[in-house]
Amino acid sequence: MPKNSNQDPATHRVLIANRGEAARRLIRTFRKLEVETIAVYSDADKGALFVEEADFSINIGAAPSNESYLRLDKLIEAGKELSATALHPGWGFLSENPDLATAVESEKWIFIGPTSEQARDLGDKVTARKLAEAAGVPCTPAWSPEKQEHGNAEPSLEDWTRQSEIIGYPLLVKAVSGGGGKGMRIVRDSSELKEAIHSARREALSSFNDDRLFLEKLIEPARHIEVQVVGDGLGDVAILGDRECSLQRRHQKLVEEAPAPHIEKDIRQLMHSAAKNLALSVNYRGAGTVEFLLDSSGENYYFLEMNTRLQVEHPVTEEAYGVDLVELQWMVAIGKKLPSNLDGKSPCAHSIEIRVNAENPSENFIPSTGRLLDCCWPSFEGIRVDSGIRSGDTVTPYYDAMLAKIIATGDTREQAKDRLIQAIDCTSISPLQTSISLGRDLLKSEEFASGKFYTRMIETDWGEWCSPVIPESWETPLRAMAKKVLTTGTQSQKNRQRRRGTCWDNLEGIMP
Amino acid sequence: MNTDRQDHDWKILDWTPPILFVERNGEQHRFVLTGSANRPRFSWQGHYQTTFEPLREAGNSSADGSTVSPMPGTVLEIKVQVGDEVSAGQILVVVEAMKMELPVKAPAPGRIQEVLVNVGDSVAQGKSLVVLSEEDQDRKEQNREKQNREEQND
Repeated sequence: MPKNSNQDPATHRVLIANRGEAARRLIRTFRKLEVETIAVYSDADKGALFVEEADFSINIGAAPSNESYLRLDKLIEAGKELSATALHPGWGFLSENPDLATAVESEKWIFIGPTSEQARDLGDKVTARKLAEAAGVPCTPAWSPEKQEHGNAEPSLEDWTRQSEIIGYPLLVKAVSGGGGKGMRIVRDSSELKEAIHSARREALSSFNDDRLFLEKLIEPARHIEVQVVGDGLGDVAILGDRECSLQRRHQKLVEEAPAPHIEKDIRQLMHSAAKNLALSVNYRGAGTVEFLLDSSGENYYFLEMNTRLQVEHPVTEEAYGVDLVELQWMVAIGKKLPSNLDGKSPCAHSIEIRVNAENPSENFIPSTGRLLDCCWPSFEGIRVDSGIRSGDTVTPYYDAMLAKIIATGDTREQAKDRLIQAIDCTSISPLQTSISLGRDLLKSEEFASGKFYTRMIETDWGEWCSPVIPESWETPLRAMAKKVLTTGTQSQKNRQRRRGTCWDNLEGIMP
Repeated sequence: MNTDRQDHDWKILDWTPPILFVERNGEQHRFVLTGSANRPRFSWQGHYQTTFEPLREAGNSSADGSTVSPMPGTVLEIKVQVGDEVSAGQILVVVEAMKMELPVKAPAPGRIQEVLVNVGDSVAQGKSLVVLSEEDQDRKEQNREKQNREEQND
């Protein structure tokens, strides 16, 4: 680990190897800590907010990710040119690629994340399972072929079939380097196995450049519960509660909350200590998340994977537990010990997040791209908006569809939920369609209230869901009301709207 | 939803731009209202209401009256030929991107003047796919000018 711990933070300069709302979120904390930041940006992000907000910025290539944000060499080159002393990978892109940590380490910069060895071992699902088992963490029945990396040793279909029968259907064929549902197939009986292996292998190869697969028992229905850990790499690990992330579409989370509701106290405790034991067993450094599946009885939980980075949904933990996870990441990265009162901190509030994805939820989530006419965010008590966009920006198809997150916090789950619904009602990024209208109905559902929702609920029970479209008979009165209020507005209001043809630009991106 | 009741039951409770808070038959609704008096944009329950757009199902039109690919991708299917009369919203071309099929629709009624791509072509975002007839383009220009004037006069 680089020994920069005795340096003044002001002498540090962090390269933010990310874009959009992730980059803005990171810059916010580094500004607070008086640490300088470097934004790297692709041609598509020249005019983006995060580029303006960083202390320094540099173009690293063309719009497609594999010509810019995924180019390790360009990131390092950019860091050298602007004298970076540290690098924060954010999430997505190269955040879990052990080569990034290695490259940063060899430049003698601080990597704000785990050691390259931890990133490699925990990123490999088979090795991670072994580490989890060794740390006494419950795992689902699974099988992985030996010496799979040598093409010749590829097991026959008979081997896969035999092992599948031992594990029992339904099961999952999963990529060893997988993530985000890529390289993963559900197999319900032996007739589906061959095609599942074939297509999972192809997808794993193209997505992760690694076609190794393994089998895992499918737990269904299941809830996705994850535990937040922060380790200092000096032998100490703190648990910062848990999150419920079961509402997903295509294995991508949509609504997340902290703390996870409707969990038996002893099960929660067991999951926390399992996560802690795993992190301690590798002397983990940085922020990480141990993901579990909790079965429908609520009594059995299984290790899913450990993410060696900050998660998209970290704000719900920050709001519910009153911490700044990026600040904690920085602290342990520069070699400081964790504060002694951190571990096992009780939640001081309940927090729920909805992801604002530019996609049409009633048309199979097809991406919605184009120029934003509006960027109106809610602004009232208990609401935090982490956003990377402003009106006038163009949403391109090159990157993840997630543009922003709306986080509502309240004294109770009920209050947080009500605030989030109202926040959704006060949001518009027209003319794009987003996931929040679906999220609104999910929040209002019986299942959400009772905690009886599972990872595949959106796909299985909400497939027929349609966007809320106003009844035809409302159109005329609404037009009339629009005419009335938009014509009688004061001059100053009109000027504000005229500047970019939009609203609330001045208030955008307000943080608590 | 009861649509039989008449519109006079609507009442504006509050207008703090951009939030329009109204009551209808005792039910309260919030709308995000932007745009201009003549071209309002409404979002309701987190959903942008395309109902209010002057050219609904406007597809993806560029300034020169051609239709463009919404995303970088591959041309999967071409559903029209030169000379075809098409109606607004009719599917002209299907582009495949990110493993999804995206239909490219006619922005307005017109005649197909030119088809600029072949099946299997890789297309960049914004690449023109089909050119619609001149008359249509003129009409669109007129509409746009009219709309601009209206916006300025609000």
